Amino acid sequence: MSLLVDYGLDSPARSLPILALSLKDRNDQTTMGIMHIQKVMRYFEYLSGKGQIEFSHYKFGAVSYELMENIETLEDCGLVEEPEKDHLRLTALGSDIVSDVRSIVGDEDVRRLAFAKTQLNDLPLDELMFFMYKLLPETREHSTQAETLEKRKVPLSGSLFMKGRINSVTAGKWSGMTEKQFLASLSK
Amino acid sequence: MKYVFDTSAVIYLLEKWGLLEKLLLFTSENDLCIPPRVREEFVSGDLGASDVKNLDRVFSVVQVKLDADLLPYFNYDASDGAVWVMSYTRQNPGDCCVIDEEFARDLCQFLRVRFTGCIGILKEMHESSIISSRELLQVKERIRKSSFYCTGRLLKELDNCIKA
Repeated sequence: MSLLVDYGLDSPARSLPILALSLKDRNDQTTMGIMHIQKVMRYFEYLSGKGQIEFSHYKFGAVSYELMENIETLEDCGLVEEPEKDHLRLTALGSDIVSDVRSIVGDEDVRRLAFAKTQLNDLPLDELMFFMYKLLPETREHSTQAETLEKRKVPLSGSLFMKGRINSVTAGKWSGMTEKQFLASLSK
Repeated sequence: MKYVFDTSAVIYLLEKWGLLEKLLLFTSENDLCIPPRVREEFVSGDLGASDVKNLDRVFSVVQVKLDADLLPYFNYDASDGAVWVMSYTRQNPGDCCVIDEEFARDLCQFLRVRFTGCIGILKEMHESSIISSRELLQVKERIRKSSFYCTGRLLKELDNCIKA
C-alpha cells in the first residue's frame, strides 16, 4: 500500500493509466498512443459514469490535461516510458505494481477499462475520433475534424460495425439511416 | 438448456434459413425463448401472418427486467433486442444467449455472460441428429442466395460445422 501512496496511485488519474497500459488490446498489444489513451479513458468514464478524471473539449475533442500531467509524473517516477514518440508503455517497475493497482480499482472497473481498450486501442485515428464524436456529441464543440468525419459517416459507421465496435442500432443512427437500411446497405 | 434469442438469430434461423421444423424438433429438449422486445422487433419486419404464427410456435416470450448496468454499453438505447437478451441471462446465469452481432458477443465475453450464436444452435441440432450435414449445406446455399447481411464469421463457422 505504501508504494501506491508514494507514487500517488490512489488518484484515478494515475492508477487508471497504469492499469490501461497493463491490459492487452485485440492485437495483444499493451502499448498505447497518446490520443488512444485519452479516448480510452474518456470512454471508460462514459461506461462507468463516475467522472473521476476531468476532460475538456479541444480541437481533438475530449482531452484531459489532468491525465497528461499525471502520465508525465508517472514517466518521471519511472513507471511509464515512451519507447517511441507519442506511444506509452509500462516499465518493469510499472508492471510490478499492476496487481496492487488492480486491487484498488476493483473488478467492475477493470472490466470496463479492458472493454474500452479492446474497443478502441487498435482503431485508426479517423475511426477513433468518429466513434468519440458520435458517442459524445458535445465534444465536437471546438473540433477541427468533426465536420470532415461527418461527411464520411456511412463508411466509418460501416467499418466500426463490421469490426464489432458498435451494434447495428448505433451504426444505423450514426450513418443517418434506419437500422434496417443500414443492414441492407451492407449486403449490397 | 434454455436459450434466449436475439432478433437477428430468430430472423436467420426461422425466416431466412427456413428451419421451422428443425427448431420445433429442437424444442423437445430445449426451451427457446425471446424477450418481448425481440418479438416486437421481429413482428415489425416485412412478415406474413404465418411468420408470426411460426414465431409463437417455436419461441415462448419471457418477461425481462432491464439491467441498467448494460445501458452505457448500448449508448443508453434499449431498443436493441440484445440488451434485453443479455439482461435476462445476467439474471439467469444458467441460461444461454443466442446472439450473432459481433459487438454484443464481445460484450457477453467481457461481462462473462454465457452465449452462443446461430451456428452454435445448428451444431447442437447436428449433434442431436436433428439436422444432417447435407441439410447444413442447403442452409449455406440459402445464405449465399440471400441478400440478407450475414457476417464472414458466421459463414466460416458454418463451414467448420459442415466439415465436422
